[in-house]
Amino acid sequence: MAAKAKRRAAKAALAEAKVEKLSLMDAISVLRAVEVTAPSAMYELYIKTEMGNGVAVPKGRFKLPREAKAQAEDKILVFAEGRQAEEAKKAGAHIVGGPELIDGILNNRIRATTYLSTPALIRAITPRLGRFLGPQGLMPSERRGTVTDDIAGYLERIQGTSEWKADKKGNIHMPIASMHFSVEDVVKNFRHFMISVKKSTGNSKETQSRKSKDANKPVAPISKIKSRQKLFSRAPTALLNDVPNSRHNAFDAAFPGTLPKLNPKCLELAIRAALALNCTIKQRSTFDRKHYFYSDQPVGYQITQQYSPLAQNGTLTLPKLGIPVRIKQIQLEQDTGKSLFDHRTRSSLIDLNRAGTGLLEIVTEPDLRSSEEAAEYVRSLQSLLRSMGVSDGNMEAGSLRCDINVSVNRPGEPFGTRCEIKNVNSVRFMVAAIQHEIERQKAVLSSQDATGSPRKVAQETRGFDEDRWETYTIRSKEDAPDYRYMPDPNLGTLIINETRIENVRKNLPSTPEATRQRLLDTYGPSGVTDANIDTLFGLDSARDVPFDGETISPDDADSISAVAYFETISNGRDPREVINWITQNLLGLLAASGRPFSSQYVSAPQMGVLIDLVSDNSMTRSSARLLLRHIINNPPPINTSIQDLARQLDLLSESSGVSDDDVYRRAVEALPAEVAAIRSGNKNVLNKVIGWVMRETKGKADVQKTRKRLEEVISKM
Amino acid sequence: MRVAAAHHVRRCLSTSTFNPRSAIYEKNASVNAFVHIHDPPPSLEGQALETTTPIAKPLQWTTVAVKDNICTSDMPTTCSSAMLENFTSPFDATVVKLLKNAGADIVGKTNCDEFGMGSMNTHSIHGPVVNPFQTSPSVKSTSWRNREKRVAGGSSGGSAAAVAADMCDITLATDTGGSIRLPASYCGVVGLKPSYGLISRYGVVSYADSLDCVGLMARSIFQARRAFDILDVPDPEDPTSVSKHMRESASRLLRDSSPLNQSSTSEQPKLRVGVPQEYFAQELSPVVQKSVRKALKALQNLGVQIVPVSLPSTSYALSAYYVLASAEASSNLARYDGIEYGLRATPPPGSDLTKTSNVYSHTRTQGFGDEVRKRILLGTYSLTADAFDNYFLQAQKVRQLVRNDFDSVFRWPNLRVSTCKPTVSMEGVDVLIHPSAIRTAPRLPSMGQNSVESLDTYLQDVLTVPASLAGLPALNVPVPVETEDDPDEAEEWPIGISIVGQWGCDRLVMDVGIIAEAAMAVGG
Repeated sequence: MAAKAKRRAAKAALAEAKVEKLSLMDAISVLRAVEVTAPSAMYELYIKTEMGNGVAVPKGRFKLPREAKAQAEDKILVFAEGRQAEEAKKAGAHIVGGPELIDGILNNRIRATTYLSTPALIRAITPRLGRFLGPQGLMPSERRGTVTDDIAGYLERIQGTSEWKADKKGNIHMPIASMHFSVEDVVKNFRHFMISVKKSTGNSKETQSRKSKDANKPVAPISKIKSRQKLFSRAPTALLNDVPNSRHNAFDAAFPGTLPKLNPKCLELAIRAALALNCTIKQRSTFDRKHYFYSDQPVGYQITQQYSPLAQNGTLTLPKLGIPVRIKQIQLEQDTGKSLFDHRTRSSLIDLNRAGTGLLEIVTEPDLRSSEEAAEYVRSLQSLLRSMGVSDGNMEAGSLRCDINVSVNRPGEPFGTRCEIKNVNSVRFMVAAIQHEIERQKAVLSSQDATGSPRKVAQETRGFDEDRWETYTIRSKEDAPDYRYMPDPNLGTLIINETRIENVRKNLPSTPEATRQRLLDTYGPSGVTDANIDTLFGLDSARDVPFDGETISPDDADSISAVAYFETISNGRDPREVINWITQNLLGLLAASGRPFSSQYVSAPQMGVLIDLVSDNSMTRSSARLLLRHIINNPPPINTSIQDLARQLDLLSESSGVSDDDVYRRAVEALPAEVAAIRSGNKNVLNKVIGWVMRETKGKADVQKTRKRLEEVISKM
Repeated sequence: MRVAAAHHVRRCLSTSTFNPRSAIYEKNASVNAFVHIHDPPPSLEGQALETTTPIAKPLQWTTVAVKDNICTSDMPTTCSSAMLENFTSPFDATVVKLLKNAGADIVGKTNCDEFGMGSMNTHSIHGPVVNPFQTSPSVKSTSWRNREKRVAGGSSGGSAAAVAADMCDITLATDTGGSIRLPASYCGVVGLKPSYGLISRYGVVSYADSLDCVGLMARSIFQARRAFDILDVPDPEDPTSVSKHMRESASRLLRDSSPLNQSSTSEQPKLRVGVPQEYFAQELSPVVQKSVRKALKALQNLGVQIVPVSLPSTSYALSAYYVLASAEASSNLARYDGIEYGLRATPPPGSDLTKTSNVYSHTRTQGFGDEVRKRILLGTYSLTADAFDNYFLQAQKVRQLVRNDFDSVFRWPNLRVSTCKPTVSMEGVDVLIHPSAIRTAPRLPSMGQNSVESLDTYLQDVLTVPASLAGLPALNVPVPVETEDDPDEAEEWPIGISIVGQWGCDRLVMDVGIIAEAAMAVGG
């Protein structure tokens, strides 16, 4: 087929461009020449990415400027009624209806690739569909944005985009253009796709360590406080997919006569964060107004803690590198709204959903010396804040973002001039931004001006361009705005007494490091490894953080954390056995059906019984695996006993010796030639007989036992 | 007291039930006190004649007008600014809600200086308020057009004039640096600025949050007190509203230690009134000085002890006040940008729109009046990094000195600073009395004539700002004008004294006011 040739050529031209030294334009010319007779053949792109250990498989969504080929058909089902149903149909939903669709879905008459629901109907469909669609990862949920009043908006957003995903080795393969496209279109599509790939892989080649220069980076991550209400207003905090301007009240919209009112839950979570970071919490702190005019800031100022922050002088020790990072201060402040410029109408749209949400700004001292250290700092801060219930730390959703100061100096010399990079919103971007900034500053420092004297780095505020993968000037020091800080006259002094701090301390959740240590101490002697614990932590990093420091999130109400799952099952069982069943069997089976971990597919008690059946030889390992697969794919009614299920499926081992011997005798009779071979000393042939027994018993026989019994039977002949 | 109450209720019933709004319709064209008149609630019209109906609610049949910088959901709230000309708030201010719940008939919104900034109520898109005071019986025969027109004072000029002209019983007003006491003095009515934090500010359009107080104006202290009792409650919506606990300890202290509560037979100290010498400076007009002296004399005749005291930081108070109030104003008024509500001026074609502030400047230039713009600029400057230390911080220090001055002359402890068990000292004074204004109401600049703005305008506040900076209760009580040596009839215009007490001593201040009223009635 012609495609094969192209594939090979494309691979040569693009993936191994260094070897062949073909530029993109040359490669396109070559391919166009070769495939002149096949205008509908595709340009296919092979990209090899380097994947570190434990890194998630790169994937992303993209939309090519010129569509290469019709995308695999999405089939969208929407639960909506009335006007919303009409809107959903108009927006391109394939099936629209109410709870009457449930039966059809349950018996597979109605199938779709995407299921959406309006908030009004989600309660009606959850009881019956939850256990059916949930395990397939298709159940609409508010968290995923698939329960929304804005169905049309959601459909519009996913329209025309497709997903790409690398294989397990990190290779990406994607048709990106058709042979009859113009060269420009091909190049455009190529660039577009590469940007999507770069974004999600982080272009992760690390530059080598620098010997001549040190880099210092105070990092100021700003994290959104996970509270139901905003910092100073009673409006509910917005979720990602809320309809714009649906989550604010008169205070957030800066109506005259409104006054701020500190949300005590936000304060409690801030105190938690301060305690977890070993900070000194100040008995008296104050709020200040930071003034500037911007359309996403309706009141004309942001309330922050400029002069007297909530907490100071903490430390966070990087768990892997073991480096202590000093925390300078922690302050509470308000988030802004969002403004989006619409180029078509040349106007700005303002969304106040985010306006006034509580933020924590955590400022470090200049203790971080490389992008790797900065990355580990942000990651461990992220998991710390998650475990404290302070923030979900989700950088993509904007719950955690960083301002980074970078300065370069020779060892032993004082810090150089620093540049601030604002609002970096992923660890990958942060690493790239720091690396680019270090290289840029080094280049400046090693160059000379017109008079021949070495040039200096100019102090400025920079941004990170996610498309060009480099930093750029936002404003110079001279243009720095004067924020005209003023103590907020309404909020006065915030007084936090010892009793209050102690109350928070008493209920402080354990830190990830403490949990890790406890797990190692408890289960390490039984053979549970650090890597096992990493796996459990990794599973929990995707869990929802509940609001207001509570312990149960409404989204995950019937599911417990991976750590809790493991510990519950381990109670009275061999922890090593338990961890292996979770990591090797359960996770594997879930991954095979493309579902993330959740404790709800196989409950902890069910898993416990299953392991017990294996350890008391009532069931073989392979039967137990089959049973597990069955449970995952065909969720049994709640309260089904595992023994009953195993019995129904005929997966329990035969217990009486009589029938055993019968099987062995039949095996020997069925395979006379093989038995003869064994008797003449060819022991390997025994495996074939064992295989026969396994087939006969549908895998219920125990291999070791079968081997032993067969040897006995054959030797007696 | 009970007799007085019954008498008062009867008076209210007889004067205001039949058509509470007729006086407003009749006089507003000449006084310009009201900017919006609210239709009477239908229930009220039907019930008006049933005087036998027992009075279920404390403010039943009482007509109340609300200054136009206090939010009402059923009437516009313009703050006398073009910026909010068509603005109606989505909610009622807590104070409005409380009065409505108490049965008050809210009759309308009253004129004021734009966002409360001014001392004469001349900076208003609704036009100036005309002082309704009528000097002598002969004037009444002169038509309004030909009478001498004087200002009502500001910024709550409309509220003072409405009460003075009998257009309503009580008005809700605000006082940032004297905005209640000055117009009350010019119009000859009672004006109460309560202790900071006692009455909720939720729904009051901020001018300078740390100074703004909601207060009351009425023809008698008794009337003002009826409304005060309704409003003196904690509000969870206002972070500066003081707790129930603090209110209770203030009233416990007053109950146990007020010289007015003791039986006459015991050997308790007499009521001691301090007269701060700094308040009788050379700017004070002679007629004011004489009238206040006479009022003090009348009190002395009743057995009140008059003590001269000194408040040495007074001379710095006015400058500190203007720095702080302007700074807060520049911050509070930043929200008027034409986006979420209010006036929006579309930038003309070709304007530089590269910065958000460039877009806003069109709206803000068009929407704010001269005085507001002036104060925003002054306040913005005092908050810049270069000026902050020399202006804002210095002013804060002066504010503390002013507070210390007051604390050192009162026998009453300042509950907002004392941490240990508060005690009442045997030394010091119970309240201070001083003139409310340095002069009588100035002439109204005639139409079209640009009033000569000078520092004098700001000087009118010199006697009222210290109590604002310290957050103390202050009450203006009209006093008889002493015209013996001055035949100029014009100088019969009203004069008031201010009674200032320690924080939380609002009821003591009002009690002293009632005594002063009585003393002057006897003495006069």
